[in-house]
Amino acid sequence: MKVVDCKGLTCPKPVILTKKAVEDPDFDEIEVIVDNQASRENVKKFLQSANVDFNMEEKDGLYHFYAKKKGEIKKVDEPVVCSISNISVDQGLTYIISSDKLGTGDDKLGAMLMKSFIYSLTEITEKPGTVIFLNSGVKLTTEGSDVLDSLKKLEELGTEILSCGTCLDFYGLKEKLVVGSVTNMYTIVEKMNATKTIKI
Amino acid sequence: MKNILITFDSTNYAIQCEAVLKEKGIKGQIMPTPREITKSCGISIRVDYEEIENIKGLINDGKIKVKMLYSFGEERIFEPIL
Repeated sequence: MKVVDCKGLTCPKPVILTKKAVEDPDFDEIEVIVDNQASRENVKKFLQSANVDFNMEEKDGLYHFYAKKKGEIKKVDEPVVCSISNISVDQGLTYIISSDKLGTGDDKLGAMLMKSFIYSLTEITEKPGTVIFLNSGVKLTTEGSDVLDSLKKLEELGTEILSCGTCLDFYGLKEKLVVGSVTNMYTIVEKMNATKTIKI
Repeated sequence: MKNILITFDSTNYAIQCEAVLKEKGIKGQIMPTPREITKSCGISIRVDYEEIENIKGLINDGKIKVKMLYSFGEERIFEPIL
């Protein structure tokens, strides 16, 4: 099986190489390897519109597409849109999340609003460069949190996730951090001074 | 990946549904109700499409109160499930 190795390549290169391989008259079966989410999405989109059978596996941080001819290959002529690459991470923007609830009032509502808020961060195109979790906010980055998937996705897309060490320690969560890394107050203050900071 | 979007008539029903799903071991993702569906700040729950029969069962048993169910994939086209 022909292997299209796109490790280290960014959009639109993996799609261009995949397209070339698929439109080759000898195309029957190929494996495409990409190493980032944007390329993964773009290659997937391309294979779908080209009418190719495929499945995708994730192995050690690499995405392997196994594509197989199933019939007439559809010519995809529209330009490659590096859609996920449209995502911008604003290094000059920091969010401080100082509670595991959003807003004050009913705790159940607050917890739900926080989940909704963090989920929406994964979908908007302009993302904060850094999100800092303080006080009970560290319950969101540690074991048992309902937003770990969203935070992992955010981190994968380039946002730095930081949890306050003092706070992790206070809540007995030091060993339970799942996403991002530990920070201290000096770093937090420096971030606040150097970037536009929004306290959630 | 195909998903189900569950919408609700009230936020309390969403909170209740989240608790029921947790109890049943069904993975539910809280998300804002997409703007395509409502302009208001609504809460919805996303679950894997595989759970459709379980969700329907919970509705029929009166365990959860929903407004609508939609199916949607990555292209975010929301189709009502009757």
